[in-house]
Amino acid sequence: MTLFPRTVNETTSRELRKTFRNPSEIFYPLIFFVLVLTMFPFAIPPVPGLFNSIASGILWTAALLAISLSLETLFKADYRSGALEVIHLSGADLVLVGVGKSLGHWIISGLPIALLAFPIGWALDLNFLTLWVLVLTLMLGSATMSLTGASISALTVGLRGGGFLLVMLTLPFFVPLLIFGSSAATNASLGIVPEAELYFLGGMFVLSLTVAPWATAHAIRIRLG
Amino acid sequence: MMNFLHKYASLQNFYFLSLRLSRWLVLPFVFTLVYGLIGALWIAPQDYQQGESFRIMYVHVPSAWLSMFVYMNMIGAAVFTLIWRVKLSEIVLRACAPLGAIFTFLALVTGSIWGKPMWGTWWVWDARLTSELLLLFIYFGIIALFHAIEDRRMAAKACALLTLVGAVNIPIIHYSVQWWSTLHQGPTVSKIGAPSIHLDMLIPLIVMSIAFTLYFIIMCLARIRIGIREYDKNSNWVKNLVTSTLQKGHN
Amino acid sequence: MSKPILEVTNISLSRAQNLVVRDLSFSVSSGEIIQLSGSNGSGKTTILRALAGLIMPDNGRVARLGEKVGNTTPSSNSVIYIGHRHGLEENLSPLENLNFLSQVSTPSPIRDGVSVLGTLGLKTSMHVLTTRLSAGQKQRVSLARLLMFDAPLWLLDEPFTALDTSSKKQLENMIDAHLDRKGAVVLATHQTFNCKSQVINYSLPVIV
Repeated sequence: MTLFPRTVNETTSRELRKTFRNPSEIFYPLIFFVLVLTMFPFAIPPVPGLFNSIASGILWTAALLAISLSLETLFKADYRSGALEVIHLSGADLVLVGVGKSLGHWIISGLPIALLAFPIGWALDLNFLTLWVLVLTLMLGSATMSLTGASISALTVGLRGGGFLLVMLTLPFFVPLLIFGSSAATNASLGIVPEAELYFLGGMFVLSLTVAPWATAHAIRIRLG
Repeated sequence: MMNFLHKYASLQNFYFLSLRLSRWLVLPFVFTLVYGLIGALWIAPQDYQQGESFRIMYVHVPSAWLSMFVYMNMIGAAVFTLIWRVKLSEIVLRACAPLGAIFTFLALVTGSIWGKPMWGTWWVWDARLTSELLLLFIYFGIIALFHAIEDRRMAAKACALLTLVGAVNIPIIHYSVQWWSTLHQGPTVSKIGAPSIHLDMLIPLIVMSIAFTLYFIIMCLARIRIGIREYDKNSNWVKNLVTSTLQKGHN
Repeated sequence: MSKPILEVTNISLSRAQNLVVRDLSFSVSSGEIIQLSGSNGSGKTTILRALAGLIMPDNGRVARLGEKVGNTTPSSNSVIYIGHRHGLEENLSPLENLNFLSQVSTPSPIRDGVSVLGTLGLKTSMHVLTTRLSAGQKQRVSLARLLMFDAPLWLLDEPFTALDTSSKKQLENMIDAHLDRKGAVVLATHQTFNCKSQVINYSLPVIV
C-alpha cells in the first residue's frame, strides 16, 4: 500500500500485528456489541414488531458504545511501556502515527462491528437496502470515531477513571454520527435512499481526517511532558 | 501594545488589576440586576399566549447566552494556552469551566420550567434543550479532565486542547440536533427570534443579559485570583498577601 | 571555542506542583561525562526528561548546541534518551520493535536492527516475543538505540539496571567509545561503574 505514507503503514502494521498476537482483544468489542444489543429485548415492552422497528437505532447505539470503550486501549500499552516517548523522541511524525493508530483501531473494532451488523440485521428482518446502509454508515461513522476518538484517547491515556472518562468525553462528540447514522438506516427501512445522511457522514469523516490527527499529535505531546 | 499586555499578563499585576475591576463592577451589576428584574417581573406586559409564565425567559435566555459566551472565552484562553503558553490563560480556562457549566445547567432547568406550562411535561427533546444538555456534558468533561490530571499545567494544556476539539464539534452538534428535532417534532415553538418583540419585553431581556454577564465577570475574576494565588504560592508577594490578610482578620 | 553540547542555565523543575530542582546550572562539552547522583526524589529523572525536551523547566533554559530545547522538534540524531521504562511493545519481538523505530524515525538510523541486536548478544532472542525476555535482555534491547542512532548527547537513566556483569561491561565500553568520538553523556545512576574518562559528579539535594 504505497497509497499511505510509510509511517502510517508501519504504525498500522504494528497495531495489527500486536493485536493479532493477542486475539482476545479483537473479540471484546464484538462481544460487547452483541451483549448490549441483547439487553434491549429484555428492557423494552414486548410489543410485537417493536424491537425490529427500532433495530437500526439500537444497532447503532450498541456499536457506538462498543467502539467508544475500545478506544481506551489505543495508547495505553505504549504509554505504560514508554514506547510512546521513544517514538516521539526518535523524531517520528506524530500526526502520521495518529493516522496509523486510528486506521489500525478501525480495522480491529469498527470494521468487524460494521460487518457483523449485516447478519444481525438480517436476523432481525431488516430489508436489503437497510442492511447495506447500516453497514456503510457504521463503517463511515466508526472510521470517524476512530479518528476523533484517538485524540481524546491520547489526551486521557493512563488517567484515573480511564475508560469512563474517555467515554464521557467522546460520547457528546459522537452524537451527530449517531443521529445521521441511525436516521439513514431508518429511512432506508422505509425504502428512502438516505442521501443527505450519507453526505453528512462522509463530510464528518473528511473533517475528522483533516483535523483529528493533528489534535492527536498535540495530545500525545501534552501528555508526554 | 504588547508591552502593555505583557505587563498585565504578569500574574501579580493582573491580580491587583482584577481586584480594582471587581470593585468597580459590583455597583453596575446590582443596578442592572434590579432594573432588569423590575422590568422583567413588573413592567413587561403579560404575554398574549403564555400569560405570566413567559417571564422565566428573563433568566433562561441570559443563562443560555452566557453558556455560549463563557465557552467563547474558554476558546480564547485555550488558544493562548496552547500557542503562547501563557500562565494567566491557563488560570482563566480553569476558572471559566465550572461557571459555564452552572449557566448551562441553569438554562436547562429554567428551560424545563418554562416548558412545563407550554408543553405539559418537564422535559421534551427540543432542539435547544438537547443541545444545551450536550453542552453541559462537554463542560463536565472539561472539568473532569482538569481534576484527572495532577500536574496543573499539563491539565490546563490538555483541557485547552479538549476545549478546541469541542469548539469544532459544538456547531456540528448544534446543527445535527436541530436537523434531528425537525424530523421528530416539526417546527419548535420558540418565543425568542419571534419577529416583532415588544420593546418593553426586549429591554429587560438585554439588561438581564448584561447583569448576568457582569456576574460572570465578577465571579470569574474571583476564581482567577484564587488560581493566581495557587500558581504563585511560593512567591513573596503571595506570601505577604496571605500574612497581611491573616493579620487583618485577627484585628 | 565550539558551543557546548548541552548548556543548562538556572533551571527549576516541578513535579505536580512540587519543586524538585531549584536553580540548576551546568554544561556538558564533547568528551565529557556527567553523573547525577542523589537519593530518591532528588529529581534525577525529572532533570533528564527536561534535558531530553519532554518537559519544560519552570524557569531557566536548556540549550543543545546553542538551540533552546522545546522550540525544536525532536530528531533521532540530536539526543538519545534511555529512560526508566524500556519502551518496548511486549507483543512484538525485539527485531520488530527496532525495525518499527527505524522506519518511523527521522532521520533514519545508521545501523539496522539485526546488526545492533547481534552486537548486543541478542541474536538468538531477536525473534522471540519481548514479553518472554528477561529484564536484563529487555534492558539490552532498550540500549540498542544507542548503537542504532548517531547522536552527540546521551541521556541515560539508570542504564545498568538488571544488566549482568558482561552486559554492564559492554555498556561501559559503549560509553567510552561514545566519549572518544567526542560525544557527551549525562547519566543518573546509583551504581558504581568504570569509565576511562573523568566522571563529573553532581550530587543533587532533595528539596523539601
